[in-house]
Amino acid sequence: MAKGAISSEGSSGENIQHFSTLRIRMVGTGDLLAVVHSMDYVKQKELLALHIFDKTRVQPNRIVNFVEQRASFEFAHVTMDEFVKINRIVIYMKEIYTSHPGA
Amino acid sequence: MGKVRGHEPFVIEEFNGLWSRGDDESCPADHMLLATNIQFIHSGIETRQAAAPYAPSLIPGIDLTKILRVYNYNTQTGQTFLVLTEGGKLYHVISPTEVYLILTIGPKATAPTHNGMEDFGFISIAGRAYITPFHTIPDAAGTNYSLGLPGEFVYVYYRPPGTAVGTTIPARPAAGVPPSISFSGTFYVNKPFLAYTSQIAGTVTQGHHAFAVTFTGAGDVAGLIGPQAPAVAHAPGNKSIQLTNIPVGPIGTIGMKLYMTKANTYVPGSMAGFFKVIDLPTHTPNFIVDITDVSLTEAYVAGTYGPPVKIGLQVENVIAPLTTPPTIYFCDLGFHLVGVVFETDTGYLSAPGPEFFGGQTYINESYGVKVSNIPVGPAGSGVIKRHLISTKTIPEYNGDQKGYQFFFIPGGTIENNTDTTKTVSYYDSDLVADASHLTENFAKIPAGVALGEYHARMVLVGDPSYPKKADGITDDILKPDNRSIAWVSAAGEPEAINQVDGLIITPLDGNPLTHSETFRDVLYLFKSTRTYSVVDNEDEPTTWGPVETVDEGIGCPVHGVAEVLDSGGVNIDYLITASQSGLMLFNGTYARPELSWKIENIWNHFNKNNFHKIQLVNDSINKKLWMTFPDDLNNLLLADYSNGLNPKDIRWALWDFERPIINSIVLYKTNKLVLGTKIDQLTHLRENIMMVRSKAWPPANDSGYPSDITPPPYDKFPGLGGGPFIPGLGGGLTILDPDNNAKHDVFLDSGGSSLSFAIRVNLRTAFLGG
Repeated sequence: MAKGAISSEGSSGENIQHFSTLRIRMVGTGDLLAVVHSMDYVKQKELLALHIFDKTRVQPNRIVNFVEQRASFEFAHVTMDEFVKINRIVIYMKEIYTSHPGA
Repeated sequence: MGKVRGHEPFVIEEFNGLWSRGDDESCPADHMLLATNIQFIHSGIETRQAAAPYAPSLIPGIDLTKILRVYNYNTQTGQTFLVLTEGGKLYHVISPTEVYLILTIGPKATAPTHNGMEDFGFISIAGRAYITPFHTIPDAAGTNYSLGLPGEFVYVYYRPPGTAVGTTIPARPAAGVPPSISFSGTFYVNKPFLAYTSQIAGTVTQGHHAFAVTFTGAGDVAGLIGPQAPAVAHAPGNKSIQLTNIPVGPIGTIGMKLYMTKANTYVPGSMAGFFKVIDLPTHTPNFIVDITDVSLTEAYVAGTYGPPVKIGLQVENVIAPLTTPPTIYFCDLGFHLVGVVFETDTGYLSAPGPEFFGGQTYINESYGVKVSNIPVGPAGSGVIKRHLISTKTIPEYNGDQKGYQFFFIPGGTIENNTDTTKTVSYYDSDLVADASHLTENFAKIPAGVALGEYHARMVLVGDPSYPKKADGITDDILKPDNRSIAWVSAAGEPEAINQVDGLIITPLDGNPLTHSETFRDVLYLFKSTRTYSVVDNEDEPTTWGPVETVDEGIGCPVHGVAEVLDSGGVNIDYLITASQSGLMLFNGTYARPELSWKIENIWNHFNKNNFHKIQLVNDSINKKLWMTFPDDLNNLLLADYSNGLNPKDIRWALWDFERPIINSIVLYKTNKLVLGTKIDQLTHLRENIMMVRSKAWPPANDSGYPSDITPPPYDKFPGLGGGPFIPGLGGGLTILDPDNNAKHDVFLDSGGSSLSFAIRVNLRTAFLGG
């Protein structure tokens, strides 16, 4: 299993990951915008917004398909009368390379 | 948890709030690099509650849109607010529709000059509001100091229950001037006519004698004897008698005759039995009588010329009237001084007055004591009662009215501010309640920056005034000013601050005291980077020393101790203070690391010169703490300590509001956060400090970024990092109510219209990866 951030669970080698999928348990109203960032915010990818339902039995998935050593996920709602309650974010990732080519 | 197409799940289900310490990549996985406009629920987060105007519309003639400071004011009938707005206007906000302007302190162009009330310190004691106006000014090096407004005073405000709606009661200077019988003329008619045994040897026949005068007008017209209360003295038989403040006659007087009674013949209320002593020049203030009874041969014969004029406090023995049941009067023999103390509607007991105490020799133990010409409190002084005070018998009075111990006369209270006479009976042994401590009280308490309470005493710090020279009036500017002094009132009398005994001196390092707080029965005094302690020894405050230094590196600014719920700073045996080192937990010593350890970057970016703007409130019921920023921002910091009040478990979030600068915060009805806001275009800086936390601070433009920083391309949600400024918004009192189901913020603009804004949530996880 991929490790978390450095100061919490330690680095396990900083290998290159494929961040494939995002899954969020949330309720509310509106649309949750999502962006994934590389380290130092050099590269980012805007994901398709997730609709926030008042009640739902489904934790929505969103394809990320982002290859980086590390990534930070950003979420927002920005328009009137939106509201969100989040209690779980699951990110699926898989180590695909040990280093960048030529590095 | 299962894999998805060979990908391992990484689960974030603990949301431990904002992380702003070191580099972004030091953020733990269970923390967030951005946590904007969220609040914490168990194992989760949600959009923060919405803001709504306190009042549905503006009240005509009342402008609450540019708020500088808000305090909870707990009256005896409910929770209200004191709201300071620009222009030095202080309002008492009782309800959304009932608001009163109670005090205005605008700019003052004459010395000592100031720009008006920019801020104020406050404490509520027994339902009364005590208010001290202050400002923050830079010294020559540009370091800001908060000090009381020069030439200003502590004010007291009290609105009695049942006061009619629409009736404005202004705040007035706390304490009050002592009783006065002033007189602008040339002579001494405001001084009482006194007679007492002289130290000079003489032949006055042993026994008590009464003294009076007559005046003569043009044509040698004889006069009427007076004053109505003759001066009485006891002659030991080998001394002369000293007369002082001999009355003056009406305009046109050309001569004066001095009369006295023979030994032990004077009967109160009767002007019979007086014999001429001598002819004196009119306007003779003092005279020594040395004459035997045998030489008193020329009896007084009433004339027609006007009697003596005396408006000073007069004291005389009186005979009990014949009544059924019988009226019983009593007193102890000998010379007594008598004075008056005012009591205001806020319970303040003034210094004794008038300028010259009344005095009289009591001659019969079955007589009462009548006091007349009792001064009344001036209009607007708040005087509602007056108390007569007296010395015990003074065996050798010498004319010096200072240095005697006064006591409240039992039954000597005048329950109004109109009567000018009162008859009392008392023995010296009845004189128990000491009034001496009132003598050196401030008539007006100089303004400081913060008010506290310790052992039922009011504590004032941040007084910029100078000690007085020996004349008691002129500032002695060669001495250090009072910025390092804490003034402490008498117990149970918050307005009675003794100028000699009621003070504690902390080290004179040039930094003013900023705050006082009581904790575990110890009085803590704070400077911006110092903390001192002192303990009550049940004597006068000047004897409480030594002042102990608790910490020489950590202190707090003027509003820097978190207010718990709606008043006070102590909860669950700790204080929370906003020091320049961080948000500190104080339990007698400062606990390290600081509570703000996780957001050290933010704290380090704060302008330390503006820490006087920080205000904290602590919702101890829901375990939340909010803090305003020192840099005129439209942000708050939320600290949720439901997982533990320690640097590790505390959870931080940033609350962002679209437009208004959040100047002040208080809690209303325990869990409703009230914002005191204003719009100021010049200082309005949209900022998302998370994005620039490792860069220069504060930002230099309105885009949300310092001028030397190009907004990064990852700012996918520009509304969170900047936005056009919309002039004309009002701000004002705004409430964040957990029971408000609205999902957008509403503020009133300066025209009274509602303006709605989205609540923009922004989260960013830690950097995740292998």
